[in-house]
Amino acid sequence: MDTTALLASAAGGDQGAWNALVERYNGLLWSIARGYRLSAADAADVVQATWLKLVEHLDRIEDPERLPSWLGTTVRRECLQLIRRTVRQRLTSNGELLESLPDPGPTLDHALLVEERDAALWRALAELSEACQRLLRVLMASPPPAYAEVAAALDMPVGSIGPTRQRCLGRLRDLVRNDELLGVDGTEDGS
Amino acid sequence: MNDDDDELLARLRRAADAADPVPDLVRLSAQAAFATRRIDEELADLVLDSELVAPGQVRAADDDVRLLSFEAPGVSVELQIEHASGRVSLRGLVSGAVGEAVVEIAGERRTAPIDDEGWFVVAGLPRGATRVRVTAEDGREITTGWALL
Repeated sequence: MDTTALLASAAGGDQGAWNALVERYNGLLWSIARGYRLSAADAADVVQATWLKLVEHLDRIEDPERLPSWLGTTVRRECLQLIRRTVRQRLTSNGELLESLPDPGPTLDHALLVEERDAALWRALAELSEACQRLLRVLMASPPPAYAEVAAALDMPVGSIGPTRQRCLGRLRDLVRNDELLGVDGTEDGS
Repeated sequence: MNDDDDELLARLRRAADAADPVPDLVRLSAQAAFATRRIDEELADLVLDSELVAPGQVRAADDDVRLLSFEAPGVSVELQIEHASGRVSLRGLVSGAVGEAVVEIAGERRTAPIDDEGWFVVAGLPRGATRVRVTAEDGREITTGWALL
């Protein structure tokens, strides 16, 4: 079923259709929140708030085709608000800002990455610019989002996604090379 | 070049699936969100969030307090939100409604009486998406939109 049909069924009370929407877009929402370097707990909160707002708006989504954009925009707004709130609370409670924003960032679990090359990639990701981290994390979502969805989610022009992706992946390659590991271009096992 | 990029991205996606998957609880909560639907209740829309207003415009007295204002025909709900040691306290001012305010958060429900002047207070709430339901003087059930507190 396409998104429009799923939305219509969900609006009619079909939990199965709702679950299918969750299956389709939860990965995208999660990746956006993590791309903003929210902790797992904060990311869980903003993703949940986004789904709750969709439930609330089920009868009021004007253009079902644009649901991914609606979801992306909503979760991004929640992320930015939560980051601002965290900053303000730290400011007011300490008089000065503590370290980096908003949280230490997702401590991506290296232990779960069996291959050293994967672990090296994660380390390198954390060294990229925030904009690159954000974009790549969303492009890494499962199922892979369409460029239009990525653009809406990150408030970027669609036409800039491809070139930015290329530039960010290029940087990532450089970083991994600097890490003195074998290239990620498949010279070792090509898998 | 592009093939290489696709391959690298596929590799990153596999790594993300392994190292930072959507937690089960997040998926289950998203599915359960569907049960919060209330087609027989009227939605009070958010008309003001002090966090979204430029500094100095509204947040006068106390910068630590976030102010949310919701409106439905004939009913308004104003929430003053404060955070202390990870918990949330809520002071609400209601007009056009009587009886009790029902605060819903993360599957929990807390009820507080609305006093003669329209105030209610709920403290010690967990952080998370929250909404408040009140009963209008004419009997309509009014629910505020969800707000992440």
